[in-house]
Amino acid sequence: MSDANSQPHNVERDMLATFGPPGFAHKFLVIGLALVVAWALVAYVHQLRIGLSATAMSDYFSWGVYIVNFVFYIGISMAGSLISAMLRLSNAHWRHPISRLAEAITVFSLLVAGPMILIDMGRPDRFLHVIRYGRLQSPILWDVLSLTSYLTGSFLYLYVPMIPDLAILRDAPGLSPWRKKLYRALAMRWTGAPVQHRQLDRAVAVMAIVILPVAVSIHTVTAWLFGMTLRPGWHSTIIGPDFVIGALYSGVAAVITAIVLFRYYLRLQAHIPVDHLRKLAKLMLVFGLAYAYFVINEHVGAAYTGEGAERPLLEKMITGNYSIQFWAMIFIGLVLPLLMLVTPMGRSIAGITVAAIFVNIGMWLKRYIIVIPTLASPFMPAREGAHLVYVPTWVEWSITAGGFAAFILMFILFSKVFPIISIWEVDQTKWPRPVETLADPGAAAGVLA
Amino acid sequence: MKQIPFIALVLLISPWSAFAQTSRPTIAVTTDVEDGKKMVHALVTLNGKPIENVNLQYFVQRTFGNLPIGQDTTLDDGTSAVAFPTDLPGASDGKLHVIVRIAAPPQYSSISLSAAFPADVQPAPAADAFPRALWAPNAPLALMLSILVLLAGVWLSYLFVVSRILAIRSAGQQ
Repeated sequence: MSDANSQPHNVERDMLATFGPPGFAHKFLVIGLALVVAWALVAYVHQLRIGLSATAMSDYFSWGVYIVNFVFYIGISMAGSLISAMLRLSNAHWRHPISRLAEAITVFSLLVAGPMILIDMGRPDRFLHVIRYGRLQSPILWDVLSLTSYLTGSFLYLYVPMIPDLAILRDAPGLSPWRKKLYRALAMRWTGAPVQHRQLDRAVAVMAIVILPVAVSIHTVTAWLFGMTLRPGWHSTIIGPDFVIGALYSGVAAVITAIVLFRYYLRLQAHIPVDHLRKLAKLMLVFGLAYAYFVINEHVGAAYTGEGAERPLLEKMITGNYSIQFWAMIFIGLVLPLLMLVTPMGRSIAGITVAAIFVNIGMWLKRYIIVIPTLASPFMPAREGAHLVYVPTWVEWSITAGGFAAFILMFILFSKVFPIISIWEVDQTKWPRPVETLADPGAAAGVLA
Repeated sequence: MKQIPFIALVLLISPWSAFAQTSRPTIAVTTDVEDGKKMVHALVTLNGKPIENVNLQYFVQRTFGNLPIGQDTTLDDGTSAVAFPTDLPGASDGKLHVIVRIAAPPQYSSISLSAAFPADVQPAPAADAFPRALWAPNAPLALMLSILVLLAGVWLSYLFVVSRILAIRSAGQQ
């Protein structure tokens, strides 16, 4: 087993190797994903032409899988804030090889989440009305403000710690002219001078502190989009923290999945040891147990009181139309991965990977369970002949698949242009820190100093 | 020859149309205070001369119809009067829209006039009914301040970070 610090000089070389000419598998993957995205665009154009009747949304189901996807991607965007900011502030050095990957997950998931809102709108050309005529009283506007702040912050938080790496690439021999030009423009004339280290440490520390409340705010505000309405299953005092814990759980699962894939795809086993995955698996276990506690809280109260509107909703989920999705979420998203992670066999790479994929699937189903059954339980009686059943159409599935493909595609393209592992943080000989700034840049003390 | 019937028609209609223009009574509405009581006065004239015994109905325009506030017949000076309602809240412009309509004689019964006078009771602002509603013109001050402070904190931090990036660049130039 090789440790990240045992082969410090290989990081730069291995990262530069990932920029080499794309192989057949890479081309095949990129073209395949691009085709899926293109098909999703075709589906969206079809939806634009004939309106939302191309979807299964209706008077009752005003939200569908687009909003499910939105909440899902917002959830996994928590990864960057958690892995990078929290571990940076807690001075956990083992985060170095994986922090950039986590920060990139945040940016790319937000870049997919935002358009999902536009796609959900029947008249996307009226989106600017939200800005022009938006009511500050509306949680919709809070979400727009929060998402914009989070996306901007995430871009900054991805970029700032990457500046020294961009300088390494700027100075690296053998790279194509357009890369040189790009890295030179983004490297901000970094030379590793002590004053630059100080400025960088301050910037990273401020971002690490600021991004956490912003991340919590976006997940809380997204929860409030549901919680501020008087609908069964949504109007709950714990829906904010419920979403935050769920986001942490799914975010860690997304990071584990991405690490495993890129570890093999870019041959980074030497720099991301299994031990890192085990640490992340422990985090996932803790968040999973916390989330199970929230899920129990969410449903036990309704089951015990049997209160008017809550009871039929619970019946729909436990034994009714949505029981398959509900129990699949419970077993695939919670029971199986948590059982796997507490057993020694489940903590192997394969076990952790399967558990993380289970969590990803389960948490998507959880968002489906949050959105759809409540809409199938209107307060007003359904009109005669109306079917309170939501089955997504090919357009919705195509756009959903396109969203996943776009997310992976952005990741792959990013990894071909920028180092997916922080070279200068893993290899301490690159841009060595001056003595006075040896404290971890994320340490709160550094900010206060 | 073909113009003769047309000229005849004009000659026939002209006196009647002139009569029609001058035979419509006009109504003028004012308010004043008599013996400490606020009154609405209506003056009905025909060709500038007051008309007697014209029966007038008085209404105040409300949201879903006209509320009768009195009925009176003009005196020999062409005036009639009813008490101005002092307990009715005004419309959104703060005024009572008084409508005076001729009830009799029948040939004048389609004639009415509306005039607005400041109401003694001002209406409560409509937004006050639901100050926290989504359609309220302004968000609650506490909410606006909270969001402003939070956003300012976050975006000022971003500006600080951008300033540090620029400082890195300028240090590199040196």
